[in-house]
Amino acid sequence: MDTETWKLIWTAIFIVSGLLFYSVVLTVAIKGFRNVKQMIRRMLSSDD
Amino acid sequence: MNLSWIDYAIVGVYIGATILAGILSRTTIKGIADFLVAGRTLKTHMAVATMVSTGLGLVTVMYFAEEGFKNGFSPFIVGLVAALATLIVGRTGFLVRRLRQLQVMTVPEFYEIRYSRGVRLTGGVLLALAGTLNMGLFPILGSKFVVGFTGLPPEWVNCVMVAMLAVVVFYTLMGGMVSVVLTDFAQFVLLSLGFLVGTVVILTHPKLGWSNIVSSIEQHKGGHAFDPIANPDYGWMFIVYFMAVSLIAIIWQPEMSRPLSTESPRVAQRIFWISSATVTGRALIPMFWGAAAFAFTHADSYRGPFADDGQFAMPHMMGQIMPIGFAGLLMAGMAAAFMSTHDSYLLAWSGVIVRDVISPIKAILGNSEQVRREDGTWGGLTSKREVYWTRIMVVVLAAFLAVFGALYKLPETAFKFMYITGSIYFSGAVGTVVLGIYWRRSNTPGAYCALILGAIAPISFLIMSQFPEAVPAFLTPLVESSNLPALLSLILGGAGMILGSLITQRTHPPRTLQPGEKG
Repeated sequence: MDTETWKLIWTAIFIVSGLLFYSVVLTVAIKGFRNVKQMIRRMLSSDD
Repeated sequence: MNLSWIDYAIVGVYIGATILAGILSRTTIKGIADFLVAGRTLKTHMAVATMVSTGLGLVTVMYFAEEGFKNGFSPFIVGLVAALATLIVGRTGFLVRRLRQLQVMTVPEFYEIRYSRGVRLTGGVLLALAGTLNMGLFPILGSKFVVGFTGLPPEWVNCVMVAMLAVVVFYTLMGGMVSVVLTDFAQFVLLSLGFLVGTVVILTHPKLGWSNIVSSIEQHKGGHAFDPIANPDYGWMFIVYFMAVSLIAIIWQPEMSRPLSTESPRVAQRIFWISSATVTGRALIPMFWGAAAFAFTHADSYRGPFADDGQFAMPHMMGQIMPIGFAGLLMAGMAAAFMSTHDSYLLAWSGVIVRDVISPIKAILGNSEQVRREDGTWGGLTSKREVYWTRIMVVVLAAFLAVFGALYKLPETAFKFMYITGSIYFSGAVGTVVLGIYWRRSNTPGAYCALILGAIAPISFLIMSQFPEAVPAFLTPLVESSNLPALLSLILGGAGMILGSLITQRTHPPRTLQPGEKG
């Protein structure tokens, strides 16, 4: 493959991977926050 | 100094909150299972957040940026291969599902179940050696980022390193894995935000932007900076090796401790499936930053001292181009990246040293029965003593890292150093873990052969590369590049298990694994 084709490939992959990364980050941040709240609640109610 | 008081205030608030989380979680630690695997209570999204945070440390940002600075866009292939491997694991449950079913806390614990206490001890020593060496450059690279980014004098590198390590050691000592996963969640959000801010600023900067960066890289480095097959630093040998090692890399203790901390084998597998979507992005973004730093330091208007320094150039560029407030956010994000990796690694390697080296030695000396107790111990130290010694080892390891980082000279790029040190363990793990799980005839002598033969090539490379002038001519191909010894070590590790086991099947009949709990 020539350099121009590689440039196009990396541009496309950079955009797609960025979108995928931030869609997962957003989902995990929202859903994971519930788990965090549960964990902190458990710690605060701990007897020791 | 490149940062304002607003930026430092943002970083200060973040570090204060982290310390508070450590103090809060101290009350949850009742035994070694709480300390090392958070009592196996992690749910899917929390586990994904903490696993991504661990895999995306400041050191990762630094060594990927160095690859981008040195090789332009070619290293993007690394992100693609790693994503493919994670996708395969997430789809098939390769290794991870079975290890979670067996309820081990560390990977060498599997060796005691499948082989013998001696194999666990040998595997524990090699894993601890590989892990500690591999982590050796983490603090110094993180510190270089902070110094380069803030504009502090370079002589401050060691002081900054010690201060950052002290914060991590504090909250890891307090709450073990519980404080690690809690702080990892905040770090996950913060470092993702830092990534976004940094990338947007680079893409919109008048002297940078995608097309300026591409032109600069092409002008100075040529086609090799885009074509990973033609680039001598990569090529097919590297791609094949890296695919193999990415599949096995899931048993790297800091990575594996997350699936082992989940509430079920099904969740353990699922977190790989979800996090595979992040793998390419978390490699490509820092590589792009590195390529941008190359363009920045090779512009006609640049008069600074970092045009040839692949490690300092990126943080230096970021310090120059980030606006006030955003700089603090990026700095807090990168501090988060530093801490999220260090806490997990310190905990993982301390856990291995205590549970797979010190505890088995005590068990061997005490001639105790080779059976797992209710509290997860194996007849060596008690659960409470294991927590105590793990805390001691966290401090010892942090002290070692500070000294090693300050003194060691790199043979290649930091990225290559990471994977050659990782190979000391991965290569043996091809035989001991992969074949141990999927090949019934794997036995104890085969496991010894796999561990020892797998470790020889990478250890030889690390020693010989420090004294290249003393290496005989016929061994020079093993020193010129780490690609050959790394690939060779994987082959030796697998072959060691197969030959060792086949030759000794009669004298050492293999143990069969118990079915374990269902996923």
